[in-house]
Amino acid sequence: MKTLFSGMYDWFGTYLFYSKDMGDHLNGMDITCTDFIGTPWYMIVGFIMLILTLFIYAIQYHIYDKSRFNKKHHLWIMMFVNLLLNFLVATILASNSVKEGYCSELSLTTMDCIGFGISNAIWSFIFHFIITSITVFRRLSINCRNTTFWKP
Amino acid sequence: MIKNLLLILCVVLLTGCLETELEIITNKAIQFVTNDNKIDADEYASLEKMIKNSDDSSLDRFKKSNKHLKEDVFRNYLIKYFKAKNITITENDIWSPNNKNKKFNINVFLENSSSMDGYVKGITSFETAIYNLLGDFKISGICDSLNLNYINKQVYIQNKNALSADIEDFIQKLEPSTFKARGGDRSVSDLENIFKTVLNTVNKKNVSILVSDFVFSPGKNVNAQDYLNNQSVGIKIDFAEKLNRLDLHTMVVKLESNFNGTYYDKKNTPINYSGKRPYYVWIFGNRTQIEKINELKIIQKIKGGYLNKLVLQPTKNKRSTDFKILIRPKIGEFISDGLNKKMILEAESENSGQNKQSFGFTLAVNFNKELQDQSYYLNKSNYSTSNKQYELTSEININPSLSAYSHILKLKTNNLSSESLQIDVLGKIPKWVYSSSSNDDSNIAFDLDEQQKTFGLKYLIEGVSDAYYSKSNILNSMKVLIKK
Repeated sequence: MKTLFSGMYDWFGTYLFYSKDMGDHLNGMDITCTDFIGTPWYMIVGFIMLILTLFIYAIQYHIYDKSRFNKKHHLWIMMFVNLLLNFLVATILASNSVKEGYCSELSLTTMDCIGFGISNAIWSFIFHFIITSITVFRRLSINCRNTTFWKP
Repeated sequence: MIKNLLLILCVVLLTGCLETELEIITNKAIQFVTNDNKIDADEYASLEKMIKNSDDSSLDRFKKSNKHLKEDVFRNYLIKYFKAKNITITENDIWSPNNKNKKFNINVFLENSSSMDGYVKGITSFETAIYNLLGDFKISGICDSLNLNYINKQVYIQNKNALSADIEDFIQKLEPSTFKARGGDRSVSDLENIFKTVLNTVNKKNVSILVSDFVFSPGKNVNAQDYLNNQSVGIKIDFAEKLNRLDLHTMVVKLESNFNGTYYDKKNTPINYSGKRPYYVWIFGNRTQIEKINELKIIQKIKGGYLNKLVLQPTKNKRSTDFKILIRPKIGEFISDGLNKKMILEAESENSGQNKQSFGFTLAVNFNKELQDQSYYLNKSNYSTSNKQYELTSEININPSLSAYSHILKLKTNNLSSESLQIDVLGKIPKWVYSSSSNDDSNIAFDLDEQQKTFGLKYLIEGVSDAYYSKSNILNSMKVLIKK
């Protein structure tokens, strides 16, 4: 699981949004720089992102599930909320972990934390997009069964 | 929206409580240390139990195949962890099952041939230093009994299980007349015979210390060169035989004292000399004993200090060294994964700038537990790499975050290839031996340079070194796997 999430985040995150050092830190490089045996932040943030995205999807499609909230722009609103929350979660967790201490061989900045937040937000967007595109889940909804990005 | 925010808040709070098993253990260790600045036996046992009972694969590094704790690895990790957390804890503050005091006897042999008289006339730095050294051994806690002897052609026992007053009598109150009175044939220094006698006393329970000027006495009508060569071979055989039976380590310490008396040159011609002269303290013991002496810094504490030090150590069991590959500084690129397994993966040469086409990486190495002087590890000629295209530089580590390591080794090549790179520390005779050695001491009274030298020292050390390093002179090895 750890490898899956680190592969996922490293795929473009370390190239576009944050440094490789931040990638090593989030992958669990411990405070003594011994090995990747510290807190696996990629995995933790990845799980939170999945749960949060599923929950926000569930609110619109299954919990609230009202005809007055089933348009394309409503989905966009929920997506934006999801994106924002995931950005905040990743940024806060990353910066807290940096504050707690990290391997002294790594060079980490606030911008790395924000970059990871952006990367996590993008992944939450992708997952939200995938979930709402799968018909099987959507069909369980009464009023939002046809709500997607392209077919409101 | 509010529900969602609450949920996020809960998740964030919950993840704050998420801890790996290693973190639970290190937090527990911090808790122990906060109380009394140390980890006692019970606390250590509870940490050990936590590791043994854990199935977390990240803790495997601390376990042997039989699930027992790898004491050294765990203790080193704890020390590094405390340092990273700015908690001042030394190795001694963490209880260890290996901390049992293994005492041994120390047999001191002070050579009392006539050539030594000049070192004991009046109050000399020789007397002060040796008195101080023996005193330190006596109070160090490692000495079971301190036995004092004079030696020339044979051993003259002075005191068994000497008390402080005996040490004072043995060295501090010494004058040439008393030296003479304490016996034996003082006419010549048969060093080979002295070594043979002293080496016979060394074993797991006994460390021996030999103090002498180590000036060979070929005597009149003897070809000095032949004599030195023969002595060198004889000494080599004595040491080689002892090395077959014991993990014998030899520490050679060069010191300097004021000298006022008769110097006997290679033809045994007496020459009156007053001034500084070198002398040597040789310590023989097994690795544990020499390590203990090193650890207590007894040699470093000698009053007036010492000039040079050399340790000759067996190479039968090549010692691996504690080292790590640093993420940076580096030349070119490689990924961090695998570094802990001493592997450099996805290595690429630098593609721009002044280091274009070069590849380099840095090792943090811990030579603190090794026996040579720390300066020995700074000399790049004491290293060899399996790929000669690698250029090596060594420096003392000044980075406090790497305080568990003593030296930083930088390796650089212009021809990167996938390989298993072996870096060896070699046992060599240091330059000071050659610069301290004389081939002809007949003009010592006027030659200032000669006054600081020891006749035949080179032959002596070469003889011993040949016994130690006849098959291999690799003291320590490090292996790094490099994959492009």
